[in-house]
Amino acid sequence: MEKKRVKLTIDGKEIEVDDGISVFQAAVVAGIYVPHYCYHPDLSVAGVCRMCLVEIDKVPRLQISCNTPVKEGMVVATASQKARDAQKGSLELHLINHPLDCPICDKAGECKLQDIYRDFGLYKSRMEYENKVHKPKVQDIGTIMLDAERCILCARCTRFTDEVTKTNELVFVNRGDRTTLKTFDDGPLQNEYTGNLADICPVGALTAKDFRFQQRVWFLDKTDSVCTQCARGCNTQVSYNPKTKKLYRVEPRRNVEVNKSWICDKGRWDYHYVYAENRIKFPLEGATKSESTWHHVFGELNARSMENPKSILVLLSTQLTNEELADAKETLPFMGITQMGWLVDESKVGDVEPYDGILKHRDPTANAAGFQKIFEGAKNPVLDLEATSNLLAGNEVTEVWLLGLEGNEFEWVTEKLPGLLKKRLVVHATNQAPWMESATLLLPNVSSFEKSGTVVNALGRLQKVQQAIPTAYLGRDLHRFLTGLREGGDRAKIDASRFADIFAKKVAPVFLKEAQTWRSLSVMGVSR
Amino acid sequence: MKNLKANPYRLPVSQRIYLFAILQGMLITARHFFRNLLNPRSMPNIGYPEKRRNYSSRFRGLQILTLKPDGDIRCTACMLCATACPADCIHITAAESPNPEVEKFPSEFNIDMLRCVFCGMCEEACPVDAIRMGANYELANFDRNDFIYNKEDLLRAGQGAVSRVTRG
Amino acid sequence: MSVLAQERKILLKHIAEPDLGTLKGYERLGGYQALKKALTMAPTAVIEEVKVSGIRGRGGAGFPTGMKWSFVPQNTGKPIYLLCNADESEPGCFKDKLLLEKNPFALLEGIAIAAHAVGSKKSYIYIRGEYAKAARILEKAIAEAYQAGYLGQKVMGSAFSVDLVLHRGAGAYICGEETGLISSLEGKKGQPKLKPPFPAVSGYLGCPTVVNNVETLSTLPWILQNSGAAYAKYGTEKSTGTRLFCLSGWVNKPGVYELELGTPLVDLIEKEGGGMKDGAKLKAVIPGGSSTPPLTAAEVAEARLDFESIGKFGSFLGAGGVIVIPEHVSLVGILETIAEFYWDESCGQCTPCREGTGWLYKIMKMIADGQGKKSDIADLNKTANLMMGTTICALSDAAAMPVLGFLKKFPQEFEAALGTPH
Repeated sequence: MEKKRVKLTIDGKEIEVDDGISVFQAAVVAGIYVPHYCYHPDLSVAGVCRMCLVEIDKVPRLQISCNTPVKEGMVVATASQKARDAQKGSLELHLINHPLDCPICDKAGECKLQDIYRDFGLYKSRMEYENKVHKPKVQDIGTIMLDAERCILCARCTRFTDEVTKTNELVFVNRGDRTTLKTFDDGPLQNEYTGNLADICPVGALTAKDFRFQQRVWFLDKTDSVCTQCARGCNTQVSYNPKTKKLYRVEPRRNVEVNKSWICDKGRWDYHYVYAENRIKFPLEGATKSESTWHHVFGELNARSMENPKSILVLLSTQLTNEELADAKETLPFMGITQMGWLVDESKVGDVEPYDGILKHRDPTANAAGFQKIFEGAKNPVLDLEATSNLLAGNEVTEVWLLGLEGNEFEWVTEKLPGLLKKRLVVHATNQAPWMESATLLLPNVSSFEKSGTVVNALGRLQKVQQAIPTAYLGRDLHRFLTGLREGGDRAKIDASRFADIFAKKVAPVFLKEAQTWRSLSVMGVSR
Repeated sequence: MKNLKANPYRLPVSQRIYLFAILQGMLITARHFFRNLLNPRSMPNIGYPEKRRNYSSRFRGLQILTLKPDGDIRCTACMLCATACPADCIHITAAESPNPEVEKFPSEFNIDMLRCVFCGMCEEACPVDAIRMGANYELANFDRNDFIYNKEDLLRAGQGAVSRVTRG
Repeated sequence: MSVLAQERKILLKHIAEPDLGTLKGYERLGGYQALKKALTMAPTAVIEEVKVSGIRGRGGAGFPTGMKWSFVPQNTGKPIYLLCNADESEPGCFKDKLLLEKNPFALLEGIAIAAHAVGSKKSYIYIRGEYAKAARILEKAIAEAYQAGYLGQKVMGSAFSVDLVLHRGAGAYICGEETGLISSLEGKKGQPKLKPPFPAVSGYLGCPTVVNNVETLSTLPWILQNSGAAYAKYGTEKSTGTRLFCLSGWVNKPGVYELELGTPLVDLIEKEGGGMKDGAKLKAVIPGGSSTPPLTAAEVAEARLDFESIGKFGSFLGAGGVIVIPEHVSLVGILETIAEFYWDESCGQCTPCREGTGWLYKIMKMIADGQGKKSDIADLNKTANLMMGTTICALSDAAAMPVLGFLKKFPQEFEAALGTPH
């Protein structure tokens, strides 16, 4: 059904928008910034901050733009003298009881109070009284620290727990300027999306413990990427410090089609495996796990595959990007290795809807859907878990290469593939697990933060993972690993090989109707 | 290089024998010797390190860290000094303070004095008068690592100076 | 000698009758004839009759009642709720208390008539928590009315049914605001809701809802019995009918008086109230409860008690709480008390009201404590102006209006108070 369109003028700009949206949303369409604290595109309208007051022709009183529906022929002024004065007034009232602890507040630098004050506040404080309203500061409410004094009562967080997670932990108690944000019954937060509270809080009232005091936000740069912690593929923004070259924070990036403005706590805070103690830093060889070199590894693996390629089974993780998989699909048969299986807990694959009704999928890997598509109609069909298990029970296969393992969630492998540990193992993983003890070669993989490529989420959406931090230690993604095998460890050729070429030549034609280059692919992803 | 030959200029004999110049020089030395002997106060040199010159209070030497009236470190680890520093020599690690009254404090505060250009921007950026440019100019060490002054060093350099900002 | 002749009174005609509060007594005095008549009429005809009467809501906002009813959408498939606002909390107002305690059946009859008119099957009376006595009386009256068939299934043998529930509030001024009342009744924190959507479309539990004041509803039986046109003959052209005025302050006979709209304010004070106590000189009058700006003595002499005349002097009739202030009482103290009241009662939802009421109170307290500064008057004015018309409900305006009004009309008194304790 065609939606009715209405024409209106905002700040002299004439625009046409869908009927039924608010003046605020129309201003967003027109590219006009209206100051606001309580409005959030993915939450209901609260209309309490009174910052988005605008002047509408023929309406005597100023109206909050977030709750005023557009009308045909409406003339709106968002920055007229009258509107600005009211906005300035609201800002001043927000600040009179707000503590002046910007130096220790983690929100400083991305605080909306600071931003708007710098934009058009800039008044001299009239609040001379010492008797500000004081409320409890530093309170531990689980994964988040709550500072009720900094809270401006915009109700974003309470609406989030009411509407998104439906867990209702956060409440306002008392009234008037004594209104205080609290958790229900002083208990801890009990949902798996708590990190979002720190994001949506426009001030420093809710700060994530994980990021607290780690970095000042102005030291950080951001890279648009995609979360690879489950099959949902939530769009993210990865913050890293270009000086320390370290990753400090993963935040959701708004994509209405995938994750709205949210991300689960696992996706947000599980990045710590990148810096974990058990990270595999160098190629390790033999029972003693002595340090080796990639050059030696390439020689060794090439020799093994030449000797008896039929005895080798390669298991590819569904955490690998399409580019890595497309490369493996060609390179391995070229080396004579035709037995390939996928490494994923099949019982969890295939859900289109998240199991908790919000975002979380049972499949903890990012690219099972892409894997299936890449290997569709391959000459040597990939083995499913059962076939792999049967193969491992026999004696034909003596050596198994497990490639592209990322993170710590591969404990199920030994359980579902009981014959695995009896074989000669080559493991290419980011983090070491006890069951890898018997591997003859342990090769360092890179995490999703250290490589670029595309993945396909459970909704069938092709999305871009982009490298945020330089590769730690001697890790190599599968593409560079395979290039090394092909080229016999020729360093120059490994460096010259580019995943972007594989995307354009081998991945884009599989997934997309029209030709795309890596650069032309939108960070918002493409739905099939 | 062909023009570079022996100096064609020759000194006159009176100067070539140096006798007169030596006597002249000895005379000056002797004059100063006796003047200083008889009137030591007029001496321009000072007996460093026993004696030290008084610098202006605006002199910018080794940074010091100040204290709160209760003796705690004043710095709140806001990192504005590190942000303002053009030489990128201040490295702070913030942490949750063990004192329940205080939210944040610097668990580490290092200044690399080999990088410091003594510009005083850190002092200017500090919102709580926690860091000041001190008077110490004796920055000599045997090891490069010793030029990284840590929190304790800087507090010691402050000799218990108390910040002028008492609130917050 | 009352200004409005006893037999012409609408609400307080029988108020002195000892048995008015019983069902028998109410029936004896002509009760429930109006409902009987209304039930024979079509709902639209009842609404038309009320429109003709021109009665405007007696809760304070003064919105025409008939118009309010006609906004209710029928055939939405959702139940329609009629709520009676008995959360009379405005300082200076106590008229509903009188009606609830002395004449509960008029209210119940009015509710039945209104429910019939708007098509509501379920009604609630939201009564102020502190009105314990009135609540007891109402509870008894509701039980009696149920028993006599004036409420419940098949009212008076007709096809019309209505259930009535008495709900006691927990004591918040803001629950007297219609959307705040709805939130509270829903079991949520008593906070006003955003408009649009208006309660007539989406109110209690998201259903069409009408909220009417006790006095408005209590007037309905008379209108139905005597026709809307008869009611419109009372009062002025734009402010029809009679109203209850709560006279308090420095007068000899404070109390609730029924007057025609348009009666001179002086008549209320002099004739009904028996003049100023101890012959004191009048300084100011707050005409409509604590939230309305005051009138000066000169304005009082001219003012008439109708929406338009009071409006000319920059004030409002509000809920009819007339507070008389004599010459010897300090306005600084009064304004401080008013500011404290609104600071205490702000729900804390919208920023201008939450922070503004607190700020106004802090400044007023400083001035009253003799620590006022010159800049304080300007700060009061600026802050109050920031609060005008910038919030969801009118509490912010209610807190700001008296401040602006007092400062505008009695500036010398506030300037004199700077630096001297009160």
